[in-house]
Amino acid sequence: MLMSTLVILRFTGIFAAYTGITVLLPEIMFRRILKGRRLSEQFLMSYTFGNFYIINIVFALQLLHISNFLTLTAVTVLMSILIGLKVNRISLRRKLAEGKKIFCRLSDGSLGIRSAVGKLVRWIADVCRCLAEIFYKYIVKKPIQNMFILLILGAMFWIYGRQIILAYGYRASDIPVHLSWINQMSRGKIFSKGVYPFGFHCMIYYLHTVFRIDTYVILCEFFFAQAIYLHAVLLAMLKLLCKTKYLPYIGVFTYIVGNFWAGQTYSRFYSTLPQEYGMIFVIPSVYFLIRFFQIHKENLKDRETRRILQCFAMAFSLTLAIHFYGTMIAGLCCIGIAMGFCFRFVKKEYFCRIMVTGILSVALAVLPMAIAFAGGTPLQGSLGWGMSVINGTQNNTSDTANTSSDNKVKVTGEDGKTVEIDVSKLPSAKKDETTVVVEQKKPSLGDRIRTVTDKIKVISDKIKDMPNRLSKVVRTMSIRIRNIVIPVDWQKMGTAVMAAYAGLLSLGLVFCAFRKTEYGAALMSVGFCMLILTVLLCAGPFGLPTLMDAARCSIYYAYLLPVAGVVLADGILCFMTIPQIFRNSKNVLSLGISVIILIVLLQKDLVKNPEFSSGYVTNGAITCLTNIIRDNEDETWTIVSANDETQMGLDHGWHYETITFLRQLEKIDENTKILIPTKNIYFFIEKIPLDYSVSYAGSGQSISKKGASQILPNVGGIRMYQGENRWIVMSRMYYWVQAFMKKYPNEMKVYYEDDQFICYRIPQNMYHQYNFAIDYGYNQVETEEQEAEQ
Amino acid sequence: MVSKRKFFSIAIMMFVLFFLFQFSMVLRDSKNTYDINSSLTEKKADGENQWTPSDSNSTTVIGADSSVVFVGNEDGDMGTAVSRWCTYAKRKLISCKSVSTYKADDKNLPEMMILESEKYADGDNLTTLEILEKKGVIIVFGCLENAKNIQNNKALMKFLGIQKVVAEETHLTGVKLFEGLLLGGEVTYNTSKDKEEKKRQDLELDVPWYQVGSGTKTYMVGLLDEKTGKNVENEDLPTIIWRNGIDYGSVFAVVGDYMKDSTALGLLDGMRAEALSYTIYPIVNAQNLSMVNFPVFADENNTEMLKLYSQSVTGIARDIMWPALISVVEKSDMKMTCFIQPQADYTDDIEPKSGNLEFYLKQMKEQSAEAGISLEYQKLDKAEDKVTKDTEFFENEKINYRFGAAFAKEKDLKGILKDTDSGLLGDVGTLVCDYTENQPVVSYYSDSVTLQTVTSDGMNYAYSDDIRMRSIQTALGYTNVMLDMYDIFWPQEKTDRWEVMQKRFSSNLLTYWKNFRDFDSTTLSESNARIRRFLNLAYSQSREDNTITLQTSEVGSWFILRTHGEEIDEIDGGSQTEIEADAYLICAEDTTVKIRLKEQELYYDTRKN
Repeated sequence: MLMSTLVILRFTGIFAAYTGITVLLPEIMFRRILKGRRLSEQFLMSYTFGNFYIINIVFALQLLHISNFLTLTAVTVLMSILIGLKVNRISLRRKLAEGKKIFCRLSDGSLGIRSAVGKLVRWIADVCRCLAEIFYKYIVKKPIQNMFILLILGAMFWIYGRQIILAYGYRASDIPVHLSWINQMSRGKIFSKGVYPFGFHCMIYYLHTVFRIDTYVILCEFFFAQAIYLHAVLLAMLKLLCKTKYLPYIGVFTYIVGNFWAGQTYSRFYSTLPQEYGMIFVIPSVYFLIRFFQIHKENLKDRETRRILQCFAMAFSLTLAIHFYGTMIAGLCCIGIAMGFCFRFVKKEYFCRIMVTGILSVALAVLPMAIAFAGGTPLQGSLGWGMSVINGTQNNTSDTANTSSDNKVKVTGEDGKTVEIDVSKLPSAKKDETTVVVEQKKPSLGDRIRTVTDKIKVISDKIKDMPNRLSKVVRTMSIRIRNIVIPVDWQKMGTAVMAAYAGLLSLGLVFCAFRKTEYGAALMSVGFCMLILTVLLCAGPFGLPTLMDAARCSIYYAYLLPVAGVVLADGILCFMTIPQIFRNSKNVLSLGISVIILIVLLQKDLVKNPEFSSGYVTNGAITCLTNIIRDNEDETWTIVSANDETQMGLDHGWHYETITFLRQLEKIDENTKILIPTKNIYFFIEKIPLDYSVSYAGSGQSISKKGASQILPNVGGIRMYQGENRWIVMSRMYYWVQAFMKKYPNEMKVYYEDDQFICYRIPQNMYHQYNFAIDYGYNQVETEEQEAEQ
Repeated sequence: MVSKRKFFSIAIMMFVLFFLFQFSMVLRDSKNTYDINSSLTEKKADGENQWTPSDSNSTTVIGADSSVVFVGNEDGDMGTAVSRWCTYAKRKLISCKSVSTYKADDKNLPEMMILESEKYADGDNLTTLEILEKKGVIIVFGCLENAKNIQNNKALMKFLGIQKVVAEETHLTGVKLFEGLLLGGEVTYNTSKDKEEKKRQDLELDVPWYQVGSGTKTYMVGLLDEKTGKNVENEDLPTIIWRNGIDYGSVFAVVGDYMKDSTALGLLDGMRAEALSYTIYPIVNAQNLSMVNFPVFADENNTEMLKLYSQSVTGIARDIMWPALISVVEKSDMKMTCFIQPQADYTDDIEPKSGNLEFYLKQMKEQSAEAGISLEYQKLDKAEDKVTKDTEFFENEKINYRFGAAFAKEKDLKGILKDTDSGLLGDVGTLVCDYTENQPVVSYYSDSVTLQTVTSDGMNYAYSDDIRMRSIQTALGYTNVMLDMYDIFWPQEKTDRWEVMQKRFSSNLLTYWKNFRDFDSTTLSESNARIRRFLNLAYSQSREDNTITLQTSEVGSWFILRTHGEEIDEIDGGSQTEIEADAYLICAEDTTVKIRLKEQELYYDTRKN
């Protein structure tokens, strides 16, 4: 079977499983509540609940240390049945009684097999009819929209989907870490390396445990499912916010295919990472909050309000349960929406509800982590860093970082000049301390009056300077947007984006004036959200605390930018069609605009052409691993490699680090023994070593004797496998294999070989294992005489 | 009261049942051509055609590169064993007294050089051996005799791959033979605490303790007792047979006398298979079961038999032994050849009973067995009387069965040969004798008569017998298990009882031979035909990419192909059966057989893209 066929089948399985539990299952469970809603809203609600539901089941079972295939399946099924019965107002007792009755009738013969089969057939026919109706309603009746959906799906496959087939490995260096954490969950250890938002890990773990898919496979392929849902929620929200039919589609399409987006804004979508998974739930948070504020005061006590708030709480809690950054963006967007709907936000009825919901959602997300923390599990490094950002201690850390070892502190004066002060010479300095305590004299009354006058003067100057400063701020924002998010040749791009935000605010006000308050406030909310995000993007230049680095912020920014664009275009079209005579031409115009944009994108060659490769694992390595798992019984093989097969094959076999192997070989004598106690041993060697995120002057060169003759890297962590070090390690490993093959030509065989990668296999007698400690020409071998001399 | 109608119905039913049960038996009995030996092949004087090394110039036979050099005493045990192996493996044997007397010719290098002991590898000889090894000659040290000499010769130790001589002599509790060298898989010959099992241990257990280093592959290790071996890792156990790999070449070493009898046959083929990327060699492919001195027809020693079994001799043979034998044979999937002994003592007045012969022949026919004639006797006035009296007996029985096989003790073979030209033994094309190293396992005894020695005694089976049996199976795909019934009819010891011997025989046969069921079960006449074909054949082979071309002079000859992980994809001109991993049984249905090996491919592959 072709490996590409296998990955397609595997992805189909993963996508079907994930969709089944996060969309279809909630859709069935909540069908009474969801009935009558727009499909997009149904999707947002069920998807949010589905993820929240599964993640929290895993959290609960993991914290109780009873998480396994049986418990996860049982809890999912039982809870789903109970919730479904409750929500759909079906009496369990009645259903059981009905079942019992049918069974009794079948057993006593009053209901014949033919009749029972007939009933079953009728039921199946009803289900089929229902599905046919859905198909007719959503597919046949909406041909143009479905054409757009197909177009979007095609674009998704072209831009992201091809990665699955062309590069089987992952594209982010931190995936092995997440893989390790998920593997530990399989061994009953959640938060194995400290408390961390584990929502993403819970979902992957669930897919692995319940559907029996290897975790490494999910982590290599799930990114595409993530990307599909990331764009699906965007489309769903735009469909719900916009009054025109077709603009949302072209907005999402443009976002997917446009080559004008900066590379870093979408490059991470090729990796299965928590941040990108958490990003999916920013949009539902935003939508449900807008939806809440759109509810009239008199309807606030309705169940619908509660449901919307529950959905908001779940979506917001998911952002926090999955990744800290998603919460930051969602929180800032919430502020923007509150500003857009300020006339409602300030009202007690709205304010109290939203504050309570917000606190509850945070509590929901934090609860599992708090339980683990209370149980003595420390915070994971990056979460500790996140907390320090919130507490403001991050700056202190960086400040202390400025302190050099010779007790000199860099101080920046008002004039911008940096002066170094040796704090050890200060009178207040104590031995081995760098704390600077400057004692100040109490100012006199004259001095105080003078100071106040000066301050007033400064403030008045600032007010006078306000227009200048404002234009400077706008200019900075524009430049930043153009440089970081949309690096196009057109100089005015940033300004255009800023103008669009201004347009959104103005248009929102206009709609409010036309008594279309909800729509107008929504437009303003989007405008405010984007302005706040722009401030976050420009935090550095503005001298504000950098909560998020610009590159990372740009991912969210670019993701939300199409919302602003589409909503603005929708607003303009709606405004143009306010007169009665144009009202029906709204959709025609939106279709026209969409087609024009589509043609422009294709004609002007604005479609991006991403690279498909994995700088971390070769296709050959993944192919070999897949075959090794298939060919051998579990625990009967070992891979000696420089990759992350330790975690990738953890459930099936063993792994031996190449560097450990080579270091053991470095200095050997007659008594040195290197045994690997498994039936089969595989050696993974990259003929053209990967850079592993660190390139060097000779990047891309083949392994060689020159490489093998270099000193074996003596560095820690992953560095021995990066850049030139990897070349040396691979060269050494290759020549060891060649030397070993001279001794065992019929045993050591090539298992797989392509242009970049080669894998050797040696089966061994488990009772009498091979000693791999041999002289391969690049290690030091001590004879008995030499030892005696020493 | 039973009505007439019901009575009639019952009678009809009974008749139908009677008919159904009986007609098949009647039919089978009438169609049983029991007096025809269907295994028999026409006796031919084809011994003069047998392959000899001088034929190596023939174009159909493998060339001069397939010579084997033996360094040592060519008339010694090892020399004889190597010589027999060369005949079977169709290799030219060059014997030398020392390494220095062998003149190496780079153009015609031998495939293998076998040294009788390490003493032939001293000084410059070792240098010569190193040179030959580098050129691709497989070096075999047939027996490492003196551990002290080896310990003092560092260069030799390195050449042999010995890291350390731990002890000049150590006592083992058993040995472990790993899979790969001989067919039949891994086996442990450890001395059991069980008395019966303990008797099997006859291996050489006091051996030098060599610890081999990296680059070696071990095929047999010695096992230490629990106390001595407590802290010894498996890799440090005394090594008995191993290979040292040097620059793609191989140096084999054997500790002990394994190369001094027929055990050498399989070991040498195994060594070739391990050293080369693939090997293909001819075999006999025959699994025989010889029931010697059975059935008997004279009620001799009846007093003793009545005391032990409460039955006469013929009664025991027919009612107790025969059903049990059939059961064992059916379970083992082997074919019997029963060597009839009409009577043992020709001096007493007890004559063989008539009527039983037909029964046995019919039974044998149904079991696809063959009847042979045993030339053993207990007492006889004149040597010629045996054949004469037996002829009389068969004539009286009015059965024209043509005997194709005869059994005799090795010492009596020469005297019997003259009788095989005519008369009762006129059709005998093969002689069977008890196990002996004086005769080859299979050979031409005369131009028209072959000799098949018994390879194993089914009742007294020791560990060394098992290693030898595996070795002969590896080299020839041949076995000849003997069950001699004489001791049952003439018991000397308490253990000479049928129930004891049956238990031993069935457990041995069903345990030790089970891994060789892919070889064909034959009667001795069938085996005779295969042996003639095997001894006469000449073959050559070559490989191009993944296709091995085998050329043989004999259609219907058998071969074993041994590979290293390669599997047969397709075969033209023959058929194949996988015996075990990396070993295939090939039948040449044509003079040219093309064997295509599978391309090494993975189940999930990227490269097809």
